[in-house]
Amino acid sequence: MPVEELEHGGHGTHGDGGEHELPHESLSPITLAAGIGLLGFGLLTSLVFSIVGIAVMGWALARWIEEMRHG
Amino acid sequence: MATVAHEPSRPAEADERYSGLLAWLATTDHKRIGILYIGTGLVFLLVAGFEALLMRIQLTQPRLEFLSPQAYNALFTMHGTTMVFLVGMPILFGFINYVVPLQVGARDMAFPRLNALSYWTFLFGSLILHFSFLMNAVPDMGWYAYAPLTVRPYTTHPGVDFWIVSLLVTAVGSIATAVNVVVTVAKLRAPGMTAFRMPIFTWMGLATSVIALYALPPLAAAQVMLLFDRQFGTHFFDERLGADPLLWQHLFWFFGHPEVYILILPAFGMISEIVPVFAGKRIFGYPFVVGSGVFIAFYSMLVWAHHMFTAGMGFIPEAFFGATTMVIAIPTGVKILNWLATIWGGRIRFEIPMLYALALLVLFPIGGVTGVHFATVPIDWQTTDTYYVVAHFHYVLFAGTILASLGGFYYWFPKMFGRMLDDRLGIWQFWLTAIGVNLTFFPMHVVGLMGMPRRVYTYPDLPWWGAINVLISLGAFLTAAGVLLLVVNVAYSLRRGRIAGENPWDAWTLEWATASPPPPQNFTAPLPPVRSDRPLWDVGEETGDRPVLRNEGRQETGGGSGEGSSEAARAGFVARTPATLLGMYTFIASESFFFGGLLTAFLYYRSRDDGGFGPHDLDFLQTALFSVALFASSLTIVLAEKRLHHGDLGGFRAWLLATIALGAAFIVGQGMEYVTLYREGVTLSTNLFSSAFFTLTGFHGLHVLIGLLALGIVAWLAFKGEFRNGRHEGAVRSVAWYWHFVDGVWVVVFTVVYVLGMLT
Repeated sequence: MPVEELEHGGHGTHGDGGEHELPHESLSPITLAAGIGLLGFGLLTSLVFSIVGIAVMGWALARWIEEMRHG
Repeated sequence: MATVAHEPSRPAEADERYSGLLAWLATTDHKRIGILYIGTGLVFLLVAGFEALLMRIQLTQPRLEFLSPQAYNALFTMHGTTMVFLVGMPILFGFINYVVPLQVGARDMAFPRLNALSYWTFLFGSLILHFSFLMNAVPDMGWYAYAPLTVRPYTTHPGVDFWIVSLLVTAVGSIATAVNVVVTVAKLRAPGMTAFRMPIFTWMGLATSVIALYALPPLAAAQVMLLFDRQFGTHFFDERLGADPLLWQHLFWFFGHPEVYILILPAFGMISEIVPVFAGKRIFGYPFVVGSGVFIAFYSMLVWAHHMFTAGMGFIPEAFFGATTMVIAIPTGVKILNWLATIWGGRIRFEIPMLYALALLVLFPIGGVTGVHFATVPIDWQTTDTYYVVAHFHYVLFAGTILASLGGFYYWFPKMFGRMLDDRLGIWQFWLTAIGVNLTFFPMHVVGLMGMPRRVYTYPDLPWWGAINVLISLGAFLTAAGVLLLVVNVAYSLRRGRIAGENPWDAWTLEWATASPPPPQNFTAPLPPVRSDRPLWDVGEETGDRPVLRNEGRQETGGGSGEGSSEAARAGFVARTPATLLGMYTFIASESFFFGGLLTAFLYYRSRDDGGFGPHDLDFLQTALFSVALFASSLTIVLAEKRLHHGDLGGFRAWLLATIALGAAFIVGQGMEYVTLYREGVTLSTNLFSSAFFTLTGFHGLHVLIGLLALGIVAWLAFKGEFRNGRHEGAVRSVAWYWHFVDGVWVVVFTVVYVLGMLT
């Protein structure tokens, strides 16, 4: 039997062996990406956008960590 | 395998916190994210196509004034940038996102939230680029942004900055996607799916991700240097202070040529799925198709300078890169031969995906062969910057990437939406596109050999030039009509298309073993056993649902009971390593190339002594002292990990705080050094050495700060009691490895900057 079959417990299970936790829907990724985008946009226009971008990134990151803690 | 027709529903989420548009904004489902990538890529295809049509109107006749030279420059810059970064990459990464987890039998990508972040950073980056239209600051320097042309004072308007920042933001998403794909393929494969049972599209997705991991960071490093030159007065590309005008070209093309393979390998993967399914045969020479793709993934980092044969590199580099470029044609030829051998003797079904595959088989070699022409230095000298080059790369990227993507779109659309695309519209679209592509790009060979220069908004009225350009413009409009017909087909088929069922093509990979569209968790029934690279056909042959084909009896491939110890060792290593840690290893490998780019610039310039600030002015002893603090922090983080592993949360917290203190001490030391230098009048813009020194050490310092932030978060969570009973230990190990990486980079930087500086 191939090594991976042994490790995954044989046929029938999925690739993650059922251990891969699927996260809930979350607005944290789009918020963090918006923060990154604002940070970049501010470099081109006004630093105010960059400061707002960093604040948004911080908030999104904190939210993301909380979601990971509580599922 | 029997297919079950059912009324398709929109892909649903695993939970229902949000509905409607919000559900799409908050999705972490790889299928929805894949569709978002592909849809966004198609929108940008329309934008870039419109830009191309405007250029073709301008070029229809000699000396037309439909566009000003400035507008033409802006259009060809935006067309090139959009097609490469906002059409090719998102469409291909979209297919990889949608298909790979299904093909390996996983329920999602390894890091679903990170996957969502990747898409949204890509989207915001692309919006920044297009915001330049509203700011009247459209980039107009070509998609390659050659420095020193793009530094001040030669280019003063902010179009270059928009180009840099937007691509830096999209690169965050692309690298994160690449990490995700590598870990997904490594960790989440179905039981029995050993390396040589993986679908070839999955293999090519993996190879593409590897290229993205090493090719994008040096471009980011070069873009940072260019941005610093333009905004902060550094001199990386300032030839007046002795900068090398070829540095940008080397760094750009170290990315730029592998980028071609980022765009073509997934396309080859699609063709490798489509051809055998519609020929009714196993793919001929599976190990060679896979091996040639993997070879290209690594070898493509050795061919970049063939883009620079007219830059005056000298005979030896030109001979070297000419030879390496010729060699890379071989693995590409291997694939073509394997597809032809697969078709040979097959029972071919001329469905639309197969038509696109056959078109690629005929047309892509034209781009491949002309590519070999450019590997021959004297021919390159004669044809460079002519329309012969435009013809070559459009036969590679349009007749290759776009035709394959269209084939892939027809192939997987039924899986994505549960309905078939309309055949009649599809046939019309195929022929319009196939004729249009050839009418557009083939005559460019001719007019290019006649000497017509590219990147120029008009041309003189020489014999045949006007007539040939009329044909080219006509072809461009035919191609555009084909693309519009695709839009019509999608709109029609989403509502009225024939119900697809699970496996409308009688294909063999695992994505066809679930409903169309698949449920949120991808598979509801147990996966079929994977004993070869075509598990669904194996099941059909065993149950008698499908005949065992002549010369095509089931062959178990790779990973049988006699599997070698290296396979076992590899599987063991991957199985033992948590996904987060594997992701961190992959990210670290990629980030090393970013520092490689900065170090290359530093090494270029460290010995160019202008009598001013140089290595001898650095305070070796003070920096050595603070470096000891950073090196010691690698030891304390190991001790923290050990305490956590033994369940000693108090010890874990204590060593973690010690690590943070040591890292902070290093940052304080670096700050003191900067302040001292600033008081002595040394800044970023003092000379070449100061530009390279501050940028290299500053970016390392930024990485230390990010590491400290990560350690601070871990410490905060530790004091909240988060890591009891080994919970999140993989995350802690990942942060620790990032910290070791930061230390490791400093070992190199300290050696190169300070130790070598002191010795010389």
